[in-house]
Amino acid sequence: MVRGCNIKIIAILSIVILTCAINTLNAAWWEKKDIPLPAGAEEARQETRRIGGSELTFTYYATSQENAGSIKSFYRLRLPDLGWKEKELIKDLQQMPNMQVNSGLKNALEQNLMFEKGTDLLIINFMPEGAFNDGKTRFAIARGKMDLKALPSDEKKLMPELLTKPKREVSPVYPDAKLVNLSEEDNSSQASYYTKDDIESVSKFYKEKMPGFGWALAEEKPVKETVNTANNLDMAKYCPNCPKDANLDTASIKTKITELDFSNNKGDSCGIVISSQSSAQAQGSLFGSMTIILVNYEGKKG
Amino acid sequence: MFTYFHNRKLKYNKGQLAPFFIVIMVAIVIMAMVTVNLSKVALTKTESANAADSGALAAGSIMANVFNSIAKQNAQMEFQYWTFFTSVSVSFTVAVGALAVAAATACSLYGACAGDVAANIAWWTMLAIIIAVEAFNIAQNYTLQIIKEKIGVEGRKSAIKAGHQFVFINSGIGSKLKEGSQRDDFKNFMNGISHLPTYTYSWQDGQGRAHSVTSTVNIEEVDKFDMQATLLPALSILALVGTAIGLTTIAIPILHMLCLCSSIVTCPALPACGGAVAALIGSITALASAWAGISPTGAIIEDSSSGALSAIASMWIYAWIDDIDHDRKVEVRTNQHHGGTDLGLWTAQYPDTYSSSRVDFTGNGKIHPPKLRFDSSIEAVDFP
Repeated sequence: MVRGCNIKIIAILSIVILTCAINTLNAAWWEKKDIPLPAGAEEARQETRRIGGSELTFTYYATSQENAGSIKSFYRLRLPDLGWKEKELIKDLQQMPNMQVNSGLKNALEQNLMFEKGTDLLIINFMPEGAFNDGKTRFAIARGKMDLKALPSDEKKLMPELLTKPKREVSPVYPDAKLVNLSEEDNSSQASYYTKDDIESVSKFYKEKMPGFGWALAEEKPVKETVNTANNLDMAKYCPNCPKDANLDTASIKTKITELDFSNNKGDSCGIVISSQSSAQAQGSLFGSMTIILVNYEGKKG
Repeated sequence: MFTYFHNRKLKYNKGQLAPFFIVIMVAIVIMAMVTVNLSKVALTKTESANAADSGALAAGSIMANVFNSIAKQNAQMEFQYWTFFTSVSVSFTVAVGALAVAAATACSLYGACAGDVAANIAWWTMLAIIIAVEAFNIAQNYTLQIIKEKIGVEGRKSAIKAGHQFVFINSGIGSKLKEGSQRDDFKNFMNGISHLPTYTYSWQDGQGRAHSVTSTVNIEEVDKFDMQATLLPALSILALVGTAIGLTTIAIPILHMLCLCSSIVTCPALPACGGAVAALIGSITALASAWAGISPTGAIIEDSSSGALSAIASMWIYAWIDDIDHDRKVEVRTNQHHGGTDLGLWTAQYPDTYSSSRVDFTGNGKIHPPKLRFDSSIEAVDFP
């Protein structure tokens, strides 16, 4: 009798444990399947960016089996079943008084599907069809949380930044400079940063700190300065659907640019381009003055 | 002699073959000399033709690598454009969505705070677009300069150098030189070959006769690139986003005041909400134009710039290299001059021998879409 009860208890416990395991595995599978992928989609890259104070993970895909239209239909069909709701920006904008949703704006919004699930945000962006002329459809999925109740008070948590860091540290990073873009290959890399400081301070920093990374200055190009004004004729010529009332002739930008070329005893080279741009119309704001730093590393070939 | 033998032919039977033998021997010797002369000319022509073909194929192989390397770098430029387009597009969508929320709640007393936050999200998002456009413009232009200088210019120089070297190596010069100073001299000459269009090597043989081999390699410069650019120049895009930022900057303090007022029944700032909405709508319109401006449907721009980066802000944003304005040909011409030979009976003169070889490339000469497909093959020989 006692032996029979023990067997029953063991059987019940086994069933409970097995059920829990199945549910856990099932949940994990469904979590991965939260964002399904269309047929033939191959992941090309993944990176994380901070945009508008929110962290968004970008995953880039390419497929030769589906076109943009069928992929849009795929996600409009599947995502609502997973709790996502499409945000129809065109309809929202059309309800605004004095808002003209022209073909340019409509086309722009149709290239990007936007879905929400609570504070979760999902944007699916499509490259224009046939842009690369190789028969593949390219799209990217950006996912993150966006909270409209409050913004971080620390400005550093609002500043745009590429949060995926370089695998290889080839040069010092200017203090408080934010990474914007990154491309890494086996024997080369290119990283872009931005800072509010002026071109002279950035140039001085790299000339002082690069030797600590084994680099010697091979050539310094003198700072070139130019002033350029945006032209309404460009707009009329190249973008006939763009608004005519944007008075671009008053928009002028002063550019200062210099280049520092470094080399090391292994035969590698590192070019640093420092470009500072300032707008008279936006002085005093971050947009008023900004310096871009491009670090281009090339390992010795062969 | 013949008359003597003719008159005595019935009585004298000895030595009648000798004159014929002498005549025939003389003829044979002359024919042998002519054959040797012609063989030498034929050999020179063969060496010259081989030299031209070898030089053209050597230079052509390097140029094929140049175009394949450019195609590979172009694939990187394309990918960088894709990530740039995506990040700007997502930023644009977030900004428009936030601006739409701000505009919809601006005149709502209790929804103004969400509008305040949304407008600030839009502002920071548009800043991300400005930074992305500036950084990408500089990076693509720098990559193009590197492609031109390190691959195009240096690759072409290497191809010309290799073309000359293979011409001289295959011209049969080495077998004609004496061991010692002549061979050392030739070795030094070969080490000094660079990327000039023409080189000539001259020497004298043991009989004091002058010889020379000239090599000419012709490859067009790789300096004119047809670029796929964005619809609008960089400056116009920056100006449009700047306009959008400026308009949002006008709306933000109004929305903030409305948010602070939201607990008060009557709010003196409420009439200003119409101005805030108009500014936000203007911002959305300018932003949409800026987004349209980054699309890769712009003109094909010819870029023949070189050297340091300059006037970045006014330049086009390059998406990728559409093609290179280049004839995709390598032409090698070679000329051999050899001094005449004293054959004893006369001095044989050898004519100068000219050969040429032209190589072209498969892949129909297109760089875009980028593929490793350039391969050199001889197209024509001995052209004028």
